[in-house]
Amino acid sequence: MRKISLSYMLNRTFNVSTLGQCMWIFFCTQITAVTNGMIAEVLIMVSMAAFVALGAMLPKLPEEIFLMPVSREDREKSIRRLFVEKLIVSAILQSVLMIISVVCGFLTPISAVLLVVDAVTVSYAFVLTGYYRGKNVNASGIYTGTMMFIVILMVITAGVNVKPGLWAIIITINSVGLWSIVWCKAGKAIKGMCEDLADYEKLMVTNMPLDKRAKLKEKGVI
Amino acid sequence: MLKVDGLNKTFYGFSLKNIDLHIPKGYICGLIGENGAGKSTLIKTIIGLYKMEEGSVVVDGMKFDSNEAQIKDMLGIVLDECIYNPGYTPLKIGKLYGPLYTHYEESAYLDWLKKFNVPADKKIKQLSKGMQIKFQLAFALSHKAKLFIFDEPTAGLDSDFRKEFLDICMELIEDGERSILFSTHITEDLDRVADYITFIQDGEILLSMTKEELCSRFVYVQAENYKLKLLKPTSVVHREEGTYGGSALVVNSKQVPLDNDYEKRVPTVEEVMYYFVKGGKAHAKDIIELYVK
Repeated sequence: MRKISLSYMLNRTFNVSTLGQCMWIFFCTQITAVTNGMIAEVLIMVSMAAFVALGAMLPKLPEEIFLMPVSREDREKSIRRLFVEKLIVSAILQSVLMIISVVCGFLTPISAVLLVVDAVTVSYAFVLTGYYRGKNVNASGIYTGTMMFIVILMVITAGVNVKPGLWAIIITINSVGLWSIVWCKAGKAIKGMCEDLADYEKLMVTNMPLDKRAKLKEKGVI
Repeated sequence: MLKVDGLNKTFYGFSLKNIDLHIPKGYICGLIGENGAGKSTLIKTIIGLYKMEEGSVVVDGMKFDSNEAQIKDMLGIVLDECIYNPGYTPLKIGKLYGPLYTHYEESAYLDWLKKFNVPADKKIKQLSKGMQIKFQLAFALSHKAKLFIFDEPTAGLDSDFRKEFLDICMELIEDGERSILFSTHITEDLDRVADYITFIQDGEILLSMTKEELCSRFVYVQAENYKLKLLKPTSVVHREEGTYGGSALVVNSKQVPLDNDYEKRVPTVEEVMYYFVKGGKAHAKDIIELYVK
């Protein structure tokens, strides 16, 4: 009963707009149907940037959960479960949209799978950058770096008018190869994040404005 | 009910040092001290928001470290700064968090909100500070807490509700099963309801005793300035001179000569705190070492 309530409460508070994200990905697939996949990639990148920006504006973890009769372990477990739930829901909804896109002939099955991987990775990075501001510079940095790499590849491929086969290879490297690095890095970070979110003092530091945090670091207080 | 032993905590360059605090069942303990003395940090450490580095907190015989959930189930907390999600209404908060408590009663919560005239369907951020305190109090009262911890609860309240609040405090401890830790800078409230007074200064507990003992150990003296200067300096907590005479807090009436020129009376809690703060920490420690311990 307690765990359900805590999880429910957290779900109500962390308002991750999974549905909105899915609609965006669906829009990307429409574009994909007429543009050989490249514009869809650009749109996913734009969406990633938008979600990162959104993440920064999302409400903080409610501090009141630290007053509630819940142990630290339960708090941490519930927060971790919340993130996993969000990702699963996001993946399921996006998969449904991809299946619709494939059935309608907008996408080939392989492109649909890759787009789902992309989209869920976007969710992942979004969650990390949104709730782990400043602390998780590595994970979000890698993600941004990867994006930059893809942009360069795309510019080059657009310039030399690559064939669809080569384009499929590029997407594969992008989605499976590079993203897996992000997932591994982010996996570690998300574990640390859940631990931090379950600890009031660490949460205070995480939620602290960057300039204030820098001042305290200078003084050696944190 | 609450037993804090040897608590040490360093936080953002500020330290709580060797805090010992005992509150028996059925009593109200007032925590006093100037701004920045460490009252809120101590309260936040006791309720587990901040992790202590050393020491122990025991509530109703249970150690906090190993029984966090059970202990928080027994706590009724009202903080000066309302930390509930400002976008939620009291009604929503009751529905979300109430079921986490073993003894939560929604009807009691709604009754308290009604009694305190708190609009249940208005967002927390739209409530005045006083209303936010009332809402927190209503929630704390609705889950049958055993230990109430109030951090500056009366600061934003109007005088009528302040009186009502203090009456509620008295009612709460009537059955002898519940206790209250009450931090405030409005020491007048403590004169009315507190059984024990704990005076904290710069992260250390300077004095901790019953209110009667605190007031009887010291004497408030008014006299002409030159007369006050005749008092033994080590027995004077602090002396203030005015144009037509001055005042001083002295450790006990034996230290004041039997002379009608000295007007003596029992000090209020506020006067004890004021003169100790004005006298400086080092002098306060000397006085306590010499006369109080």
